[in-house]
Amino acid sequence: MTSETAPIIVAIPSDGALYESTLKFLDSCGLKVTRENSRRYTATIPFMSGVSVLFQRGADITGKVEDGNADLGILGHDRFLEIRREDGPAASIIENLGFGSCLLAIGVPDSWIDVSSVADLADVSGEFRAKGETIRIATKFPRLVERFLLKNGVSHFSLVESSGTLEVAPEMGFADIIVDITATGTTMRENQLKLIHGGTVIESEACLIGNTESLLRPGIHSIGEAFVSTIRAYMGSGQ
Amino acid sequence: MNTSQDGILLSFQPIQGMRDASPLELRVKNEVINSVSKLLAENGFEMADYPIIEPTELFVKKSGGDIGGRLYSFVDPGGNRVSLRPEFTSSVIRSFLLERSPNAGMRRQYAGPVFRYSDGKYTNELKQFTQIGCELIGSDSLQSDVQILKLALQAVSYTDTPSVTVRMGNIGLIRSLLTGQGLNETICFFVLSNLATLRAGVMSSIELVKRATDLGLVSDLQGQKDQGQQLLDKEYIRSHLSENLSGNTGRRSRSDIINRLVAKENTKVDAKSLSKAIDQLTLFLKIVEGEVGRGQLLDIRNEFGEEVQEKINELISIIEGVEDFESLSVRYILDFSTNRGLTYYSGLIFDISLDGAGDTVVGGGGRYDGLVRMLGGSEDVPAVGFAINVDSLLSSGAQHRFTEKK
Repeated sequence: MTSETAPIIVAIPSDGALYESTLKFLDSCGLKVTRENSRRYTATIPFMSGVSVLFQRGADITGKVEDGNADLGILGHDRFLEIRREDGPAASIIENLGFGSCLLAIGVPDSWIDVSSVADLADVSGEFRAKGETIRIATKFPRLVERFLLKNGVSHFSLVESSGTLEVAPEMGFADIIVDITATGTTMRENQLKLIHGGTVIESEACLIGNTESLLRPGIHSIGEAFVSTIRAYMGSGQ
Repeated sequence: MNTSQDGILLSFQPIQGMRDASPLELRVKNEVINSVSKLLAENGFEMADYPIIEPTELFVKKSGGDIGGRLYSFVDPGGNRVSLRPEFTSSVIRSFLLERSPNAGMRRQYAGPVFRYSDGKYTNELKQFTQIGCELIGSDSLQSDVQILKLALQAVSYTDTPSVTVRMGNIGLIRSLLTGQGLNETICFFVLSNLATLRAGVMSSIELVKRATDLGLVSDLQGQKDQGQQLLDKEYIRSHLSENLSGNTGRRSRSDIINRLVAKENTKVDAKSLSKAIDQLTLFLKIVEGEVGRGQLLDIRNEFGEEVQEKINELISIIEGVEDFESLSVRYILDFSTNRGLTYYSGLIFDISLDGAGDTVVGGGGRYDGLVRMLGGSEDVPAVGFAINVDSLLSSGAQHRFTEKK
């Protein structure tokens, strides 16, 4: 998706925790985003001609970049790893942009006083199995979570994929534990959940991704390089 | 090359890490498989076949270590969590449990594709490759170990590979060294999974203990000496931890939680014990590693006692039991950090690598007496086996003269 005036499209989050912080970050880099009104999904960066901004849900940004509907994207590294196609054209250009840091971590009920580690969780999944049941795990990141659990010896489980608020899942009874994004663990604690040793699936920050094929096209390459260089210069300046 | 409805050309490539076999490659591959299969059949191993897809839990925990995170696992249309097989042994044992008659042994051979996902870490590895191998179930004799190692080497010798190195150890011995220091099964599993990094010096014993602490595998009640003892008392838990237990416990009962906590505290290991065990293990790995020739004695009874000496002598006997091969030079190295990424092994364990081909591991095997019970058997049944990675073997260039050699 290119046009004469804006050959490069940068997709950024339209909602969630990364919406404000991404705009602030780009502003700090000297790439202030100007949006005509808050309901428009496109915007411009007046200080860098040839770049158009596309507001997208965080979960959709990787797909937009892979499909070539955007050339660059800013999103949580966790979401990128969850959605990206291994053989696809989207690649991480700057893995840690220095904001939006969080953990994708396992939260178990406080009342499970015998569970303090992933090794305990493997045991408890066996306990459910012995009763003919399956431990149910609510998450928005099934791909990362499944691989993490299998690697850590938790073999008998079912994933409850949910896009809503996960912290209430154990209390409401539609899952036994959760794996969710947390910055400090506060929301989990407020919902009688605790983090466990070795239960961090991934530590994540906002990252910059790009379509490695579209960025090589004539007329795009130099603008893409300028955009990335501006960000790198800001990050290298000690902020 | 395909053309989509709107006329755009689409180019399909095999998935990264998987590849087509040309008619010639397939012919050579089948010749290797047929020759090894014939050898195994002559030694009483009957060919059997097993499903490519199995329940995921058949492979997780039993395989342990590296393999769990490399499974092609998914939920099938019926809602079952299943995986493409990463190896055959678990399926052979599952089958044995279904068909066995009491006290009967079993000799099975198998051949077919196995699947192990790999990311950037293993860029040159195939994600789908062909294994041929066998399992000898029901014998705990040293002669069985000798036979399995000998057959594995004979299988490799069918190609024009001039020389190989066999790295061998005994996982059972490592386990007994660790349990002798009071380590529980979970910690043993953790240490066994990290043997290679420990031996290579990638991680120091201090770092390994710290990692175990971070993972919550060693006592998380350090500095609370009294509480550790009190947590062995169910009444103490009921009365003093009732506040925590009063919350929503979900589908777990309070008894489930208390009983498990008591069991866990009973077997807990503190960081100091783990550190001592790892230090002793590191010393052991260092002392025993080295090339072993026939008739050579390695006397370490003064440092580690008679039982350890006996196991070392057994390994040397196994080497002596394997005759020389006409066209294959074999170098044996004792290396007790060998774990093959599969922690179900319980005794002899070995890897075979091709010399001068980037030390490519082309196969290996060992003894796994506890796997039958792990997979639901009522008792341990002795078992030993090996598998050869046919694709690795042929990628060494050995295929070029294979047909002539036959």
